[in-house]
Amino acid sequence: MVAAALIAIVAGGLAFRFWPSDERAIRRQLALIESVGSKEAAEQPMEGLVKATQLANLFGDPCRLTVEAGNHTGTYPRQQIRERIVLVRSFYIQVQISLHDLVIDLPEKNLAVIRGTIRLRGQGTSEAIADVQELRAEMAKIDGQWLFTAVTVVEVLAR
Amino acid sequence: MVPPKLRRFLLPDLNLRYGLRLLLVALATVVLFTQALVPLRIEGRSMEPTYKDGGFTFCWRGRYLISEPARGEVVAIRFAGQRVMLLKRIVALAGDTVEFRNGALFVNNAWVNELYVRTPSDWNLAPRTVEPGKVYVVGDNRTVPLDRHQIGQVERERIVGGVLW
Repeated sequence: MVAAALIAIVAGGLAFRFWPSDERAIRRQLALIESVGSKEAAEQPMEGLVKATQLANLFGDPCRLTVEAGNHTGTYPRQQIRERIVLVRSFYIQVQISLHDLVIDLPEKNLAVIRGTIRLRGQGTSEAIADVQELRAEMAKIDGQWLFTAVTVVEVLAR
Repeated sequence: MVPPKLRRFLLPDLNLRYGLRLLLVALATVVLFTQALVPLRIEGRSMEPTYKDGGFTFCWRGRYLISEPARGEVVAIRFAGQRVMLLKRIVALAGDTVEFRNGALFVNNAWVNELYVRTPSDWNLAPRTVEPGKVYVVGDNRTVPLDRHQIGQVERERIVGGVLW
């Protein structure tokens, strides 16, 4: 009797943990930012290009990018985003990207609003690099995949 | 011979009463270190020499419950949440005018003697007025070029608390 109850609790817990949901699918996409955005010192150029493509594939085509600190807003095709990712990654010898304090809201079907903090730590071509930014993003479910349709770098400290 | 009271304290009976006490202590610890004294591991050099890279302190969240942040105080500033925070020093309050001239800080056109700054600086920043509901924060390490140093006015509500030491 006790064993059956334990098995039921464990099964319920596993079902709750692994049951597919939009939020879990979004978290998987966000986890990709950390894994394919980061760069090891020994990374080969081809591996870098593959990772940049994987990262660019998380963005809608096109995607609106806003940097509040520079009063900049633009809508960019995926190809241009990929080229920019390749360029930015080349500035680093090694970089680790991590996302923190993620809050995912699903205000309507196939639309998600995400807030979080992104952190970059690593080694640039000449010095150590450490940066933290707050992000606000919108994702839409397009052809079964959650993709970024708008990303805003929030200005926390305004000069 | 260990006194019975001390023995009971060190080797308590594993009964329900002990379990409840353990649970209460665990809960109190979690509440204390997530809601009141948030541990901070310092990464980065923007607050050197006051706070060194790799150092440790606590964010005291009760610091501004009954008082307002003041000039010269070091505060923890949150981003989207509280897992990653910035440590910065308040140099000006809402309505103040802030300016850097060849590394020297001027608030309301008066020079501020910043004893916590130990390194020379060549920062120049045109005068600007801090908006209502905000404070102006700067790091203590002025050797970093101004364009790569995170400084500026921040909403009062983003200040999570002060630092314990």
